[in-house]
Amino acid sequence: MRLINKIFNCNYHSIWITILFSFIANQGTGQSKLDSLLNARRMDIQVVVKSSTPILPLKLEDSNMQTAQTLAINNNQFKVNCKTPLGDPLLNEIFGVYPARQSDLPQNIQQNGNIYRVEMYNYAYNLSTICLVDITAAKVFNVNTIPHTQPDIPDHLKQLALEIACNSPEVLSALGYKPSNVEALMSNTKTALNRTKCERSLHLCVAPTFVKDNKALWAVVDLTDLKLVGTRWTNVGHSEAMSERRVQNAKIMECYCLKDSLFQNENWRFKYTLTSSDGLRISEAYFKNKLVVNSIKLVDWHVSYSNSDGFGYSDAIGCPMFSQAAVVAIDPPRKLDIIENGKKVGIAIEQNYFSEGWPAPCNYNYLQRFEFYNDGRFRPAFGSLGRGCGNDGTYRPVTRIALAGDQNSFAEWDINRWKPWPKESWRLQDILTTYTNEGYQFKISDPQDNGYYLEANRGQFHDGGRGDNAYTYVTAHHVDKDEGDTDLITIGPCCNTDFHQGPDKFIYPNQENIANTSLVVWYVPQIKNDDTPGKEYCWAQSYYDNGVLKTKVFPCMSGPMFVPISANY
Amino acid sequence: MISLLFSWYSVFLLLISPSPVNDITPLNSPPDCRAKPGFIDRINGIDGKRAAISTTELNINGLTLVELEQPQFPNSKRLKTYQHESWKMAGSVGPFTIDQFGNLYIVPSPKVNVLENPIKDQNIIYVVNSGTGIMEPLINLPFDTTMLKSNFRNPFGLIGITYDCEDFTLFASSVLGSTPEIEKGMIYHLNPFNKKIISVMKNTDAFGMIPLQMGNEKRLLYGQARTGDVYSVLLDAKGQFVGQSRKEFSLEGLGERGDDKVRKFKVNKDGDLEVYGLQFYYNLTAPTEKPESKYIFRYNANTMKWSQPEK
Repeated sequence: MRLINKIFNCNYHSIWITILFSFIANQGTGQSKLDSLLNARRMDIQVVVKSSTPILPLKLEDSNMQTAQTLAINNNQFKVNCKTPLGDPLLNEIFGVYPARQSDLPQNIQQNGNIYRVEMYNYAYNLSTICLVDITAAKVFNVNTIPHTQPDIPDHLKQLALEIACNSPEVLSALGYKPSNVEALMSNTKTALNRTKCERSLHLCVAPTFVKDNKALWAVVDLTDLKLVGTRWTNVGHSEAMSERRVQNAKIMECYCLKDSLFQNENWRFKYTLTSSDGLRISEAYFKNKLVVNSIKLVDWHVSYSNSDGFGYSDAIGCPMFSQAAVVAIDPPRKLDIIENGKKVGIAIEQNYFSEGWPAPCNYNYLQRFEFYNDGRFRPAFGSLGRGCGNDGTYRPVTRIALAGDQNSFAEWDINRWKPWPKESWRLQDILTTYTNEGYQFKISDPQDNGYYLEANRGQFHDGGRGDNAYTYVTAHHVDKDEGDTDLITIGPCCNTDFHQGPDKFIYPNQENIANTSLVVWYVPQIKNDDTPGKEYCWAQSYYDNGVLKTKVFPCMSGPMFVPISANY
Repeated sequence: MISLLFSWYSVFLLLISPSPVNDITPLNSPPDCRAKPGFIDRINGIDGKRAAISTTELNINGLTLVELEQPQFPNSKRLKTYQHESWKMAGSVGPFTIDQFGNLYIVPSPKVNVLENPIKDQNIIYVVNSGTGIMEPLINLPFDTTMLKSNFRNPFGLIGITYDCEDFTLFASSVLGSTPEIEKGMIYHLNPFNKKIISVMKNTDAFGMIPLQMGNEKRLLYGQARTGDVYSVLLDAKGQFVGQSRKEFSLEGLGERGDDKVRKFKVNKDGDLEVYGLQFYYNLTAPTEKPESKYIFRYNANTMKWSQPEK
């Protein structure tokens, strides 16, 4: 049995979604209708969460049902979850008002035609509140709250989900045409909803399904964030339930884990792949048709907590399935332009890795960011977005940079000159470290003095980073011995506070000569987190926005810049 | 469906019944013959009545014995912990089972990273001797060693183990060598006393297992590791797997997550099957991210169909 079906058009990248989406927005009436629906929906939400009772009512024709809804909304027990204990409003919506069935009623009560069942959904807590209302007696009773459940969705949300799906570029791309709403086989029955879960985000999700040539295209739509989560083809009659996690995992695996992707522009060309345990790997990077980097990847995240001796984690990052990653990719890599002074000066590629409970304590979110500049500079950067197990954490990401060239040598700036390293070694960036006037700490160069300076991060890269206090290691690269060319298993324990971070294994006990050879640079910053209000670093904090839970992040970005020695390099 | 607030590793923490149980159930599962390991009452400083075996203690790698403040609650405060030196040899550990003598059989299971769990050792069943409390390897279940080279993506070997109290044998399931494209797992049926393998089912990634008497057949019920489907395979009088597996029921779409895989089965006192499910995607995401749910299924031997009884 194959776990991954070949079901995605992997050349279809998120960066193009925006472009195509914009194009359609200007062309199609469907998109105009969707925009109109989304705008109206957002406006309704903004208004209701500012009101004293943040509950979106259902538009009802029947006056008895209206009465039942009003009585429920005004009942304190029914609306007990409408605000947080601190008084922050939470978005709630009445999903249904029905004449109660006898089976809905307690055994001692008979349906007299005036008892209604009112169902409400809380978007922030992902829970349902259900009550019975006797409109004759103006009495609300049997109020029940059921966590992690969603009532049947009302028709207007069904229509909104259909519009989102039918106007999604991903659906268009998968089907090869723009479907009409009637082609979606979504049923707002419990069965359909049960088969459509956003188990990662804990959002309200439904899955309009389109059938084409004996295959079904599931489009998972998030009605909390009002967006498409992803799509997946299955064979009609296939028993596997579709969900947020499944469509995300399957796409990442097929498009980024099981094959290389290629980036190319007028300056840079490289491959990128999500690995099992070494994060996003850049390989065979060419600058203006010259090979400059064999590969760059992030081997481990070592996280230690100073208040508990020996407590911490050694986390690998990588693919969401069949991987040694503890923190996994759930969204595809993002390609971004680097803009300085209004001008595009390079491109960046970013990848996040995510624990499903983040930002709750002891859950993590890591960011890898590779920057490639038009002038030949490049920077592997990495950061933690919190939140971890405490405010006494130190993050030590281990990055491996295998530079191109087999005649390289390594030198360190020593007060006023470049001092070559004859053998494999390591150095800690500390208060005694000296730099060139430009801020360079090391130089990697061939006999013609072509190569790169390594500019250590001292907080000058305008990304909020406060400096790295990094260990830098240099080892000889061997074609006949794998010291990290392939996926590395966990290279070191969580909690060593000295240079024993893993790369030292490839240095000692037999330090090799490293003059005029192929070199690997290992870079291990040491970043302390901080939860002090106003100074947060490597941290994340939840807050409520428009009645739903959001997360504010305080990244701690680290990583060195590699600067070409010669402009012609 | 009942949500359990503790992680799947925590639920391996098993309070040991002081005496064997003999339940006859509509499902006719073999009687529970598990005996309390003798070493538990002989460890100085640990109150055997409050003791539990844990596979997930903070900052402790391997098997641990804990003394609980409230023995009925596995996650209650630890009054004391004990770890014999040999209990670290398997690295991080996962499911275990116990025989009629109190010998404990346990399999390695990497958690968060593979520092202490090299893939070459992930097909070893370890045994903790009931009398001495010393852990040692019981058997390294055979596998194609060429898998080791190509298997760096999948960190797991053995992921399931259960003891058959009817014929005193072990079933162990391994996914060693399985890839996203190819299911290479195996179910092993073996005699733990002479270390002989009775039968092997190939190309099957199974997770939780339980031997059951279903009608006039003895079958091994197993949850697939890749989907929420539950299959069974016939066992002959010699304990050999016979014929093709058949689908029994599925967790697909059920519960809070909808993508649970079966970690464990248990026949309850009503004769219903308790099915413990959680997410499993062959990765090392932390156990805290994997809440577990319990599902109840009832078997109708006349129709040979399963149903979920009304709560």
